[in-house]
Amino acid sequence: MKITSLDKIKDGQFCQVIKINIDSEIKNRLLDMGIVTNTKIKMIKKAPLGDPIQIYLRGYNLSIRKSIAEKIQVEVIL
Amino acid sequence: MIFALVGNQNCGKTTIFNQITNMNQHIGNFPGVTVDIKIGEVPNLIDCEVVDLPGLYSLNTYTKEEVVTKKYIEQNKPDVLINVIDATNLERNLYLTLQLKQLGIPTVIALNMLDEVEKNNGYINIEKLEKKLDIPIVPITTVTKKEVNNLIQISCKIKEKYNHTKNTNKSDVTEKYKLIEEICKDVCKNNINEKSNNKTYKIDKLLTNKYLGIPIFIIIMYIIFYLTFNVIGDYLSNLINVGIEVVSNFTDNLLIEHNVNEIIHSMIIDGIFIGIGSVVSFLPIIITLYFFLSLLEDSGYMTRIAFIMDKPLSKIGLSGKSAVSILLGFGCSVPAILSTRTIQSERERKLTMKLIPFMSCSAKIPIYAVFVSICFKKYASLVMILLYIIGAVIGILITAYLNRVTKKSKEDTFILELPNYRFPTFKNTCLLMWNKSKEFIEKAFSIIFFSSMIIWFLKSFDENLYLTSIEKSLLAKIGKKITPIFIPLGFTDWRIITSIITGISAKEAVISTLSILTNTNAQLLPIYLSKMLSISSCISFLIFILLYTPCIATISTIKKEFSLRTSIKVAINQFLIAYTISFIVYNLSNLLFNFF
Ligand SMILES: Nc1nc2c(ncn2[C@@H]2O[C@H](COP(=O)(O)OP(=O)(O)OP(=O)(O)O)[C@@H](O)[C@H]2O)c(=O)[nH]1
Ligand SMILES: [Mg+2]
Repeated sequence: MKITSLDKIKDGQFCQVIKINIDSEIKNRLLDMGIVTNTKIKMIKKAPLGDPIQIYLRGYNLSIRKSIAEKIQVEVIL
Repeated sequence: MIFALVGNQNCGKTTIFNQITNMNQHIGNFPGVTVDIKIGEVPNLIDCEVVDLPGLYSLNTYTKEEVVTKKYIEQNKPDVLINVIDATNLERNLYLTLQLKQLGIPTVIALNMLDEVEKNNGYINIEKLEKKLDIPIVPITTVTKKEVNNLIQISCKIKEKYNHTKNTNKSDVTEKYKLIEEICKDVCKNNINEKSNNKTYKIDKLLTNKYLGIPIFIIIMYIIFYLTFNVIGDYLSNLINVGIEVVSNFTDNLLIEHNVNEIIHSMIIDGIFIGIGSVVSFLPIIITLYFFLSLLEDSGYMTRIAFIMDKPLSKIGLSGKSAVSILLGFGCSVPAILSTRTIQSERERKLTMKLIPFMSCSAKIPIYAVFVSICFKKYASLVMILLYIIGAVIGILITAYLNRVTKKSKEDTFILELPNYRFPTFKNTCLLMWNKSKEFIEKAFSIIFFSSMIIWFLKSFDENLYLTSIEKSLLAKIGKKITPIFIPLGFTDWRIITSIITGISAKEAVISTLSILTNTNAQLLPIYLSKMLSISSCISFLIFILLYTPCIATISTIKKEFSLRTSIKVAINQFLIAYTISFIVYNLSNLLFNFF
């Protein structure tokens, strides 16, 4: 099992959230959007210029900047 | 009784609101269409009001429009909350439901978009869900009259039956989501959104493609403007022109036949008809542009534009969401400025607002159409598109500069839901076009009407209120006093200056003023104007109009949304920028023309 940050996940791969390492309002927003511990996330793709990213979780698609994704610690699911 | 529609962004609150109240509020397939409170009455029910609120993901508010909703619930204490839920997105929508439950206000759930769940071959056991949540659920498939009537009936009854107590435990986010996962596992069969999701991914393979995404966006925008200016809008405008001419001639004859007082006759024909007529003839072009903008909104492509443009925009201190405001700005600056409420970082929000006046609004189209046809007959639509590009480029350069000189903020970020594509509904598109036409006609008969009357009055009388020739009129005297300021830009005729000033009341007034002052309709106006302006002055005028002070409505919106100081600053800055650039353009083009 590999632990990494969300932005490093390859397109089409799944991962599971471990922790969000941000301490600002942004963290609360991510939690409210359903990015909590153990949430399963699928990496869909990156925007044409590499940032932001599109992820799929809890039945909907969300896009967030890489700078946020870098701070979300995840575990790769094989 | 007050029923408040509360729910996540883009779950269909406004659609339900419109169906209940027979109103026509703006609907679109992107999160954050509604940014303000809208109140409507329930027909056939005395003392019953429905309130449409901006969507919110959580009571832990994050963006400005969410704060609007939270404040409304806290301060106005609605009697019943109608919690609208997007059934294809059950898990995240239920999170807000659990939060709302803790408020202790009687709540009914409107489980919306069940038609899409069905199309995806999904299934939700509504009875079971009702029991688990202990909140009555009204199923809604396509928001029909019958469904909303049922919703209102149940909402009316709920108050008596209600016996929830405030329970503040289980406030932890993780726990809430755990509970929701359990509930969903129990009530949902098959994946409730897989099919439409996969369809969306297929479309996105092209539209947000790594290499093609941005070129496709540019091509789409080009096609929109090309069709608007060259093909559809232009054709329809000519038709309307003929119509106006017929009505005007008919009225003219009628007035002569009945021997109506000469002054009144002149006021009706030379003031009102010419003034309003000159503007109304451009209505089709404006509506065509709105039609295409509404397709961008209703299909869901708008959010993809935000997605692909976030990176380039972040380079100048904006966010992907700014792209949405910018595009709305091509329609009208007022809703565009309001839409910046969805941008969380105050810094990004302010920069976006300052960029919007550079995005040429649809009210300026008549001016461009008239002036471009003076000097660029053959390439008219290309030049019009070029004007939009010039405005955008100057705006971007100035934003880039402002981005450098203002302090970076930690809040700058981008979090945006990407809803699945939907086929734009015929009804929504028609309603939007109808709405915009109505707004336009209302404006023509209020602001344009009054400014036409004032201009007609000032050009017909002298300072002792005697009828006089236009050159001796009060207006000519005032206009000639201001003219020297604009001579460096190549505008030497006082009538041009007057139109610039009336344009601050509403941009359409530029053309109505010029029509009245030259006593010609919009079709013949270019010929007349070509005698007043050299080609260099004409180009300089186009640039000036493109950039100068926004209309009163926009300035007062900036005042409401930001501050008086900011609004005055924007008004003055736009004038100075327009003046400087027009000055440069005028002299450069004069130099060029002398050279060849
Ligand atoms: N298929 C289907 N689409 C719906 C239904 N209700 C609404 N929609 C679509 O959902 C989208 C969002 O509708 P809105 O009414 O603007 O949603 P809202 O909740 O007011 O959104 P915000 O104001 O952004 O929070 C639009 O594209 C509607 O056409 C429904 O019952 N079925
Ligand atoms: Mg809405």
